[in-house]
Amino acid sequence: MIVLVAIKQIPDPAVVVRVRGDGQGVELEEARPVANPLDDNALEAALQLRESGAARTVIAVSVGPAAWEGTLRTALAMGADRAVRVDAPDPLDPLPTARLLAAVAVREGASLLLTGRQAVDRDQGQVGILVAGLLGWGQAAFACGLVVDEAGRMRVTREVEGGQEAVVLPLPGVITVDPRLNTPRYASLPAIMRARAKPVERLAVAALGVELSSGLEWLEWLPPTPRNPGVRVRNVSELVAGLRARGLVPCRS
Amino acid sequence: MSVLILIDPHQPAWAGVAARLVSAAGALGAERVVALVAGSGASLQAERLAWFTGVSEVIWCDHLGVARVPPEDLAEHVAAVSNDFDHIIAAASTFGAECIPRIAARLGVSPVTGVVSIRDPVTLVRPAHAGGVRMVVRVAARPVLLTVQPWAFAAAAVGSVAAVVRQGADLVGLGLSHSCGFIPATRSGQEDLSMARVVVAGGGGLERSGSFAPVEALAHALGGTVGASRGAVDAGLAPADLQIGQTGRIIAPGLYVALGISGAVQHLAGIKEAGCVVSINTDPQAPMAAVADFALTGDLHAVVPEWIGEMAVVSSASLASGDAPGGSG
Ligand SMILES: Cc1cc2nc3c(=O)[nH]c(=O)nc-3n(C[C@H](O)[C@H](O)[C@H](O)COP(=O)(O)OP(=O)(O)OC[C@H]3O[C@@H](n4cnc5c(N)ncnc54)[C@H](O)[C@@H]3O)c2cc1C
Repeated sequence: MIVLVAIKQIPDPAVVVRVRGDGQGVELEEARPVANPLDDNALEAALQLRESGAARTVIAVSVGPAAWEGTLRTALAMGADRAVRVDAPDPLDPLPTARLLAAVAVREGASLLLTGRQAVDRDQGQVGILVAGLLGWGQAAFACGLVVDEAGRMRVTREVEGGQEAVVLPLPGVITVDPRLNTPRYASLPAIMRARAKPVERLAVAALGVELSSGLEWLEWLPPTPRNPGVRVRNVSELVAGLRARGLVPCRS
Repeated sequence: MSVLILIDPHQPAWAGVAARLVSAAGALGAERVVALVAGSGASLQAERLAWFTGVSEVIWCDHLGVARVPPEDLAEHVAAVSNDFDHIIAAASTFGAECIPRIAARLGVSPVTGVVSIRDPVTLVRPAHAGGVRMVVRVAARPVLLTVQPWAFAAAAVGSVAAVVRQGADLVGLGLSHSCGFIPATRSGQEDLSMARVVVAGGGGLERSGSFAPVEALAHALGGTVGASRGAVDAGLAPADLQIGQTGRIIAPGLYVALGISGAVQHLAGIKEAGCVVSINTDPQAPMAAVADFALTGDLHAVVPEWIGEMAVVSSASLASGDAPGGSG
């Protein structure tokens, strides 16, 4: 089995974003680029599938500009067999991103695509499911548990409202992962050094025959709803009095 | 303008969520609102959906022998009827997140997820970057597929006239995946987080004592719903479906109480729209204390019993003075 892991490079999510002066984007220049943390969980899951013998090859794939190669090299250092970058602009909307990933999946003969349940920059949470829909593959979203059964099917535990659902997913399929699935490994220093010399294969959009338009026009970026400054209260009586003044002390009914 | 709303019959608070989807459809300018619910028991839910003011028609579909409908099967069914609609909407829940993009892919259009406000039928607002920004997007293609945050819309009223209810075609089993079990989270029967008016959440500050009891006790006293940070979920104190934040639930209660929660950006992403935020934390420097409307520095294990005690005094005093017991804001 060939497993594709879709990885997005994002600005360090620990850096707080601010809307740009012209309202046409966010200010994030000082944020260092990192892999979307949930995609690291997806890569970890793929590496564990290979280690258990269920997967033969793990291919890390990104749809983005040349500046994303560092992130793919980290994926190689963590243990991916190959890294492929589709040379595309950043940002690129989810639908064209998914079209390109679907084309790569077909081209590589992959039977499983793993990726994070969402990228924590734009928080759209669409790409994995879009790929499944485009390819007509089965899907399991929000995976927090994953094992392979005797028949080679994925047995996925999903986090949903009200509890956990167990799903059987025959391949080919797409699994989007929750951070609870695993703890991603670190790349060792020697592995990082070796990965520097490994190739990151480059694919042109044209070679995949995909249209980049999405039908979405991002008009503007707005700051979040502002919050009023709060107060520090010294004890519980002050707190309850403050809440009461706001009409927020409910009585026991 | 016709809007199709997709109902998740397994979401514990499905009816409340549906009421908000109906008003979101109204905000989209719908003249005709059709609700669709699929799975075993769907006919009963359809009967209830028919009473929401604003619903024109309810369609329920069976999926022979299958209680939890695979999203692939539902998506295929909806894609096939999509020509009749200008918009197809679902809640920004796990159900919406797995169905709406799949339908969109089948139709070759871009979906918009997590919508919190509707400017006009094709111009939508959604948060991004852990709630640090809101993005405004215009959608060119039809139908427009979107998921909406339930809390961002008022609940539609229950009217006195029921809409037409009819059975749609059975869903076709594609066999792409199937559900084989469900383990309910231990805390059920409470109001859904995404619509609760009072939420009391516990965090890593409860790890040492190893018990979520203070959170439950205060939630009970305040008539609120229990929530958690990832710190509490990772410590095994709360089930994952109670997690609030960027990779959990986004909520907008009138009152939010954070017990022993540091206030990491990923957590704050879930409470950006909360009315009044209270932080109880031993660390005066905790980021949660900085965003809170009321910050109290102290050990939650001492503060919670005192707070509950104080409330008992308040409520008996107000009962004695003849005030009607008030709800939350
Ligand atoms: C990609 C990604 C997604 C994430 N998504 C989420 C998400 O959706 N939701 C979420 O919550 N987190 C999320 N996180 C995790 C987040 O970064 C924090 O690690 C997490 O929120 C910490 O939880 P906490 O504040 O409860 O725990 P801690 O960081 O352990 O903080 C505990 C707090 O309790 C205080 N405390 C300790 N003892 C007491 C006491 N006796 N009384 C009162 N106060 C006390 C401490 O001072 C401290 O402030 C995510 C992280 C990543 C990387």
